[in-house]
Amino acid sequence: MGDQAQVLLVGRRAFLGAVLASAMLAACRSKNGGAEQTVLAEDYDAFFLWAGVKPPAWLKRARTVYALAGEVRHQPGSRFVGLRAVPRVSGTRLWLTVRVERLDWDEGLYRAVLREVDRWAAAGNALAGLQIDFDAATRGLDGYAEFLADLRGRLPSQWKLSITGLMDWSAGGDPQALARLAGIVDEIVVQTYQGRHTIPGYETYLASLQRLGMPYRIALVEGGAWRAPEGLESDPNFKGYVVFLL
Amino acid sequence: MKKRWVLAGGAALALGALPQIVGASGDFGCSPTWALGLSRYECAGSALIGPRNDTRVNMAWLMREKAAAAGGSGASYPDDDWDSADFGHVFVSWDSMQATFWPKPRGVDTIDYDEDSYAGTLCQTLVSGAEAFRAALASSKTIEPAERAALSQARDLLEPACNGSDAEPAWPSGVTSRAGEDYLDYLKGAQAFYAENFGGAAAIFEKLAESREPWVAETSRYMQARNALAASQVPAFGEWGWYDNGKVDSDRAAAGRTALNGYLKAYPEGRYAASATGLQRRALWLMGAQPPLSRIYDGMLARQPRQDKAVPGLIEEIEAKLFFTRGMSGGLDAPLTLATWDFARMRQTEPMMSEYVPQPLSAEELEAQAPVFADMPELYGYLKASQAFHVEKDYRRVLELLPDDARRGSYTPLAFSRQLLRGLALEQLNDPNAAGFWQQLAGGAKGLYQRPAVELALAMNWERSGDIARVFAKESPITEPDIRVMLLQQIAGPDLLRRQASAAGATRLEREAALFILLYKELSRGRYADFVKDLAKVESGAHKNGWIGGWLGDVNHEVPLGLFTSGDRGQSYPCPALSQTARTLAKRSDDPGAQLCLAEFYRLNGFDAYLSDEGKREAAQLGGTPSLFLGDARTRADLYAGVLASPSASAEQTAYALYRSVMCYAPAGNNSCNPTDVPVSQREAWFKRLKRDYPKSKWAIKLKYYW
Repeated sequence: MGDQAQVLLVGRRAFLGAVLASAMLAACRSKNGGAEQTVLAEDYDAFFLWAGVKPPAWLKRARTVYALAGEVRHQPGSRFVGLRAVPRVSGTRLWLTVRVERLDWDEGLYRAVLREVDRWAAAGNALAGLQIDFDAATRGLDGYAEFLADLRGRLPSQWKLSITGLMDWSAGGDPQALARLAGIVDEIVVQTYQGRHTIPGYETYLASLQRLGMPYRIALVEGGAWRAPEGLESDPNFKGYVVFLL
Repeated sequence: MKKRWVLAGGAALALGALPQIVGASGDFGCSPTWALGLSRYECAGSALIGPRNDTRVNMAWLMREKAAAAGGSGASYPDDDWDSADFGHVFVSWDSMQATFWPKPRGVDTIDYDEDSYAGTLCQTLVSGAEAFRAALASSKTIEPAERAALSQARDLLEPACNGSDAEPAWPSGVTSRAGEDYLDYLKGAQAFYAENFGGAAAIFEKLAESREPWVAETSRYMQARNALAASQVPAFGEWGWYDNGKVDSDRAAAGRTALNGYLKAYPEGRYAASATGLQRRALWLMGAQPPLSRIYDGMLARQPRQDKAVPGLIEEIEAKLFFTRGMSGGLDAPLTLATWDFARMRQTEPMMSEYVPQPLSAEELEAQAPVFADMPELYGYLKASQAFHVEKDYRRVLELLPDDARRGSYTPLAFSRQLLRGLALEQLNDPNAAGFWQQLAGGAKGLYQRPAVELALAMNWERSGDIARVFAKESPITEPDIRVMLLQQIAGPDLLRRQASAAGATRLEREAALFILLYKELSRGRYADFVKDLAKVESGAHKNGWIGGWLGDVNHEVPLGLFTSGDRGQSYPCPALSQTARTLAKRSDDPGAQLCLAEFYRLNGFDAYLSDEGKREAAQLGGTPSLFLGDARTRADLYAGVLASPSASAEQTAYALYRSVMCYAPAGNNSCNPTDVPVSQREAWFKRLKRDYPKSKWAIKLKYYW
């Protein structure tokens, strides 16, 4: 990581607010006096509904649900594996999420995924669009952008395209690759957890969210620890939280 | 818009077959714990049938019992792939097991781009059904040619139902003959079925079962059953697409089962006899009837020819339908499937996000299962011994239940597991005969994954009794490369490493890994003079490909020895070649400039992670005993601290050491230079000192923040 890039890591808002007469700048330190809270689903209105998680009875009251529809596994030539029958919910804004382990898709795979989108739409859901959940290496964001540009071309224009993101992308991603992503996807949902737990040190990662240059949501894990870093909730690009239900 | 659920893949909906991290970050890949006898699940299993293994791996071993008794498998170890490259031939996952015993021939995976598969849904028979329908039309003697053409074309009208449309098709008019009408009604029934209008379809098929057209009658009879089973699942799908087998309409499913039996009775050699027989399993599954289902599956496992490519699919079906569907009841009633589930119940912990935590298995409950295993005393004895080993930790009982039989010429999977478990019990009891036992067992351990497991057990025994030299002796029975390299990497002392770096009989990987570790440990433990001498052993032109310490997990098993001779040296802080730095340190180990350059070598050539991970190895596995290469590694943090403590450090050197000390924590507060952190106040103090004492140095100017 180039030394020059260090300057960009601190959110501009925090930077400007923290300039002092002396040359001492304390970077990436949360100034919030409040304690960390536990994430309770009832305090939020957007959720990830994953395979193997029984939908809670109240979920229909949610504003937005990202439901995992299936997977593309890493074995070469593997087919789309469906993990959910077609939902039928009205009222809630529904995203069709596909978990992806490889980007070398053949035509059959694109057809299977896009047909799934069609089925969900035809079943009367208020479908927002397609979300791809792929953990690209921070150094591989350019290749990922390539894949997404192609996918965007295949996806009918009435459906939005969303991706999940890793915190490390904003901290360490090449600015050009991030700009390219911003031109292709409609939003990115940045994940702050691994398994059941919030990733420690999330505050310092999130300080670099400005570098994304696109609208983003923050994904929290149900029951995880969380304290909003300073400036996050007033960032115009911040579009709200999504809670991963366990 | 009518209510509709499109049925997704049945197998895929039976969740939790392979317990894995369910979180949104898709971590995959699998690293084994290098020990046998684990009592918890791991993604990497072994030839020891038991709780560590995936249930599918255990089933595969059990069903290969007869095949193995008949003689060699004809199989061989698969090529390394990224998922299993660090298994060696000791460990096996379900994926690598399939690749070993039921390999897919090359070229089979080419996808037919023109075919829309609808796999796992009702529409999987859309295309094949069209062919059958048209063939029946063609061979019917009662259909007029004009009607035949119209009906054949009309079959295409079914497709929109499969793509979400519930519009009524424009059926052809002018089909007036009785036979023609029956065929047309059949199309209407099929369209209703694909559109999930099961009530409408049922009425049509019931009527057509009496048709005078033989094909229509038989197919409708079969479709009645298929339709009833599909209809029974409607209440089981929730509005979010969640499937709950417990909510299946079991009366409907039972009616489907009755219809299947009726079909098979009326058409014992019928067109759909094979399908109807298979669907009987589905009916039992939908009814939640475990006992009869387990008996059927046991029979299939016992009968399967070993090389049949259908076997993995059968094992996955048993996994998903019999073991891991919620709401099944009645228990398992047949030996192979009951044994497999018993092993899963012996697990002492379940993986973190597993949805299923099976009820633990007590010795009493296992005793009560005796009648099921009446014809399989060896399997039953092994079950009891496994329960004693993993749950009761009663190792003497294991020895009682599994007599010594280590001198056979060869072993079936079960016979081998019995002896392996006996040996592990001997180890737990610190029996002095354990090593001898392993050496005897090695002679007959000829099946795949058998000998390497014995070698692992023996290597661990010798490691713990201080006999690591025997592993590397000329006539050593331990030939498994992963075991040898792992011991060299983790615990070998400098003399052994030096010897193996040029040992005539050793593989390329072993020689290169030994040399790399020797050089790395000499450097990091401050044996600089030895380093300079041994550096000469690196071939000129040595490459830098591969992962430091990761050569076992690397499919190409490359060792980046070239890093020591032609590693990166960076622009901003000039350093001589590593050999020169080492020579300087050999003379003056606290030379500040050389310490900084050694740190630069580590930083620029990717050694940080390896330096930090040392010493984190779990003790109860191969290479887990204290290292025979004495001394702890000096990390970058230690080197910078050394410079800062040095009275002879120049201003430039001190400034750079302060800069680098702070940068260890960039960009997010995670420490790259050392396993343990210093407090933030210390990082702040370095920052301030740099700015205060060396304000004009380029390092002070560059450094904007601390973390």
